[in-house]
Amino acid sequence: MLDVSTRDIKKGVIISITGDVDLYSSPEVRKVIIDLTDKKTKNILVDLSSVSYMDSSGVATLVEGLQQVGKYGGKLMLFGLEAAVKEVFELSRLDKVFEIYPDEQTALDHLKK
Amino acid sequence: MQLEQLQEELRQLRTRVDNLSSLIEVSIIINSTLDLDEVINLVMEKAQSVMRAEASSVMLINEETGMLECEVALGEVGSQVKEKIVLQIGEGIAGWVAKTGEPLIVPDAPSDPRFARKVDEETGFQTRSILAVPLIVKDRIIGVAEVINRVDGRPFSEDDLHLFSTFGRQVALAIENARMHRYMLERQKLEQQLEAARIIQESFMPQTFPTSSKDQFQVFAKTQPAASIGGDFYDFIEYDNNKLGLVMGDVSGKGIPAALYMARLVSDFRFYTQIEGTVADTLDKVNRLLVERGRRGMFVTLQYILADLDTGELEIASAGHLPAIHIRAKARECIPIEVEGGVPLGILPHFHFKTRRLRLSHGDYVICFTDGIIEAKNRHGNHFSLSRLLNFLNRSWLSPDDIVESLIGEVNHFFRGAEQHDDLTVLAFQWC
Repeated sequence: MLDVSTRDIKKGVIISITGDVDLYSSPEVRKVIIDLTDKKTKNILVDLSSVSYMDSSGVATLVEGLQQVGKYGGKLMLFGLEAAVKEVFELSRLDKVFEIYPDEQTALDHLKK
Repeated sequence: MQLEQLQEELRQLRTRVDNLSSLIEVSIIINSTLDLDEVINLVMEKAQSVMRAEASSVMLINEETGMLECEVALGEVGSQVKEKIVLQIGEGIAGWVAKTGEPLIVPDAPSDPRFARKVDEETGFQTRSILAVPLIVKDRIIGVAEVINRVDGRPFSEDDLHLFSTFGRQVALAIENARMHRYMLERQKLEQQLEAARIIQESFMPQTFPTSSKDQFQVFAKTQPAASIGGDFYDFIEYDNNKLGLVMGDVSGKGIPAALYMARLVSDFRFYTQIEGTVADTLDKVNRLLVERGRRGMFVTLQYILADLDTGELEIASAGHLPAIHIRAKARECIPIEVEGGVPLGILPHFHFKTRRLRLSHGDYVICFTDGIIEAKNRHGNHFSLSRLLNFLNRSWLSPDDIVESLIGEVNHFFRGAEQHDDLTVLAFQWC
């Protein structure tokens, strides 16, 4: 089962995802992200530390979020990727497309800069 | 006296025959239609009349909310009950039965502490007595059936309970049948969609492979689609100046959207390859087109190799696709052809791709593949991996189809017993 929750921070929102993100569950993640991009949330940080599997439908959802924030000059950052998920991003060179940080603190530090 | 006794026995026997025939009728109803509402309605109408009750209802547990919701309510205020009444598990008589899984006779409802008054308050109905049984499917409580107020004013008896329990089992069975049917229909629908996706995918792949009149090259490619259909594809583009284009890609997502995206991409790609420029220029143009078209974050990893069949020179560009592998026939070595940069197409509008050049020797092979190959997982959760692939390819081969068939066979052998999650696609080119 997938769980998606959001938490407001000073400069934006952190989305925490727990579970596998695939063809079946990605619409749920998409809904949360699109709700935030519709509101033009400046910074969206996605916590993937509790995601052990993500397929290309899941990645596409994050890509869509990235494209949406790009339209209003916002940011979408990822952090806490597990090795298997990180590999999905690296294999298709998506690590060059997204801002990816090891953990929440590093991502937040980067926001301050 | 004896006559009276016989008459009483006869009356009881008649009742039993009536009850049995009504149960037979119920089983006929259940087998005659798969419309859940209709079945429950008909069964409860029958139950209500046999039980000689004023009203009846079936409440089912909503799996998402965990609440008891009214599926069918018959009697004077049936429609109001159906619209308004939702109970928590444990709330009211029905809630108690749903919680405990025990049937219950309530001779005087208003004086029973478990009774939920809100139903009567909202509808104006006066509940006197209730008989409630749980609906159980495979040891799981799915709801509660109730009959309310015997017409003769007496409370429900143990005999009533026994008979109504049988009705309850029939209703549970009918619900299970209808749910199974609905599940099968949905599954069938999904399978039809996947079949459509497969047809789209296959119809946009080359049905025949290009051949060389001067025996300059050989090519072969194959896709083994996964059950849920990934978006793998390949294409060959033949040019007048004795060049051959090899294309391999993998569209994000699965099913019909991925298949349609791929179909459109294959024809667009062919169009853009006809415009002057390097292979990287072609990727730049297709990338911009896909970004503009922007479909729900869909993207594609793609590799484009242009082979000069006279010189053996390759131009290679990659958009986030796994590196092709160069099998050097004479040196007996396999080397991944790394290309600088290259993010998937359809994401970053102003990205500029790079072209890498490489010269083949006669007899060399170039192998393109998708991530389904190296990410194929066996029962122990191990991936086929790039190193295993390089190791496997490093031997002498008879032809491109020998490589493609052997490799797909090897990957199938590797994950035997485990599920195939992604398409397996391999393309092999040999410069002869």
